[in-house]
Amino acid sequence: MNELKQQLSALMDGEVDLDANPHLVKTALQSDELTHSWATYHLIGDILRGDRALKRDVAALTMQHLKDEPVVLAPKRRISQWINPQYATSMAASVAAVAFVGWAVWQAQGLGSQQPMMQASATPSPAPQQIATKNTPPAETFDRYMLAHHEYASGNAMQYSADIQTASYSETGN
Amino acid sequence: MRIILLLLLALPQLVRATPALDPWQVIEKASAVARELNYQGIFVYQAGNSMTSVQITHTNLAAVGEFSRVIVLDGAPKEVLRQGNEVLIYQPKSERVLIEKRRIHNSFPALLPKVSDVLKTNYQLDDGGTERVVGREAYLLTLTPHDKLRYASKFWVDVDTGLLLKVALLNDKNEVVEQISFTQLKLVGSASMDWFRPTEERNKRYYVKPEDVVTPSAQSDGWVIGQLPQGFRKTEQVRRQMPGKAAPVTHVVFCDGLATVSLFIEPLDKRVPTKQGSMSQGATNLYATTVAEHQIVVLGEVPQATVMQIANSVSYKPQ
Repeated sequence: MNELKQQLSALMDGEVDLDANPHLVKTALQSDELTHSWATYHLIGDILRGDRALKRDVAALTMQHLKDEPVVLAPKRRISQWINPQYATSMAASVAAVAFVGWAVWQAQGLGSQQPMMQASATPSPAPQQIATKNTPPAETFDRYMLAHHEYASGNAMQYSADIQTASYSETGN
Repeated sequence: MRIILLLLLALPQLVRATPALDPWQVIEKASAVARELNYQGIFVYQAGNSMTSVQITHTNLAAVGEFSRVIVLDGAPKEVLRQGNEVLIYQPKSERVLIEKRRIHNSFPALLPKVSDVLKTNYQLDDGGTERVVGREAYLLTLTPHDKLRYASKFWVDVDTGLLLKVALLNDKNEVVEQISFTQLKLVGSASMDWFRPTEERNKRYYVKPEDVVTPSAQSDGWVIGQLPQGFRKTEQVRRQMPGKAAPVTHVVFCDGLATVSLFIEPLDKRVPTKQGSMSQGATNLYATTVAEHQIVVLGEVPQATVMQIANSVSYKPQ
């Protein structure tokens, strides 16, 4: 059972030769539970690679296989070959672009979405208030701390449950 | 004879009428129940002045595990898909959908603390009778701290199923600082998994946000944490490489059995403004300061005084 699940997982990773293992997909369809698990691997696996469309194509082809009973065994191909290499490259490029575009959007959204609650620090710091609007502090920085914290937060961390964007942070001291 | 018969008939009723309620057992059970049951509903999260409605669908498939889909209904759209502790967050923007991967341990309604000696040392649990929440009868349990370094909690637990229906955190003035409550709840049988997928935005491109790289680390590197607030102890220490940061961040976690506090230490980065000050939202308080050319950030679901005390206990002693 577990081995089968692993094989299904590998299948979605394009590691298993589907043609050589036609029982995998058949069994998956016969068991509701495994279908779910298969669907989940599919969902999570492809997203982590940043491309739903790509894997959806694989899934569609897999489904096609299921309809063709008995399973067509020739020609022998690996799943990875079904993926158009050109498309895969372009997707890899878009994933790389996340770091840049994604952050910008994230920061823009994080700012001013809620009331700033930063209070003046009690520390008698002589530093001038050089953080003005022209040099907006990255709200995202504190979001990252919040998110990191929530990975460990236990008992009373409700904020995570609603997955609320953390409050924007405005600084008064430097 | 007839009287004896009546007594016999009444006996089960009498037994039922006097259940010995162990509040700790209710707490213990509620966490498990939230993971085992299949349900869908809407809950409201309230912190300070902000309020957000959230839709949740949760299923536990035997042998496969937990699945949930959470849709934030107010403000910016957001969907959270969870399988076990793995979480994917989808945030549709104007032209793209951002996807973020994270790990979590607890989220409502699986929010109750593990019953431990540490918890019992720092808090007292009282049975507050029953109240009606979201149309259901609920046990009210109150978790009261022995000092002002942490918040009090109130839990409303469904009498019928043992599921957590509502939870509130209260400060030392007995004011609610943060709460979550179901406003709609439907328990369902073993449902289909059709719902376990994000809303597809066919015209948008999907982007995956970079993750933190976390490695366990016990090295102190000369950092000393002095006197912790009463009842807190260190539970984790990791090194966290956050995307965009030049140096790894040391992340230390403290817990008192219920409340968690995180301490972050990292070298000051000239490109980033130094943070000095405090912030608060709902039950979460944050305090930022600098020690020995390092940025110190402390945050957690505890009063401001507690995060400040932890931040101020940090010092650097070159080895």
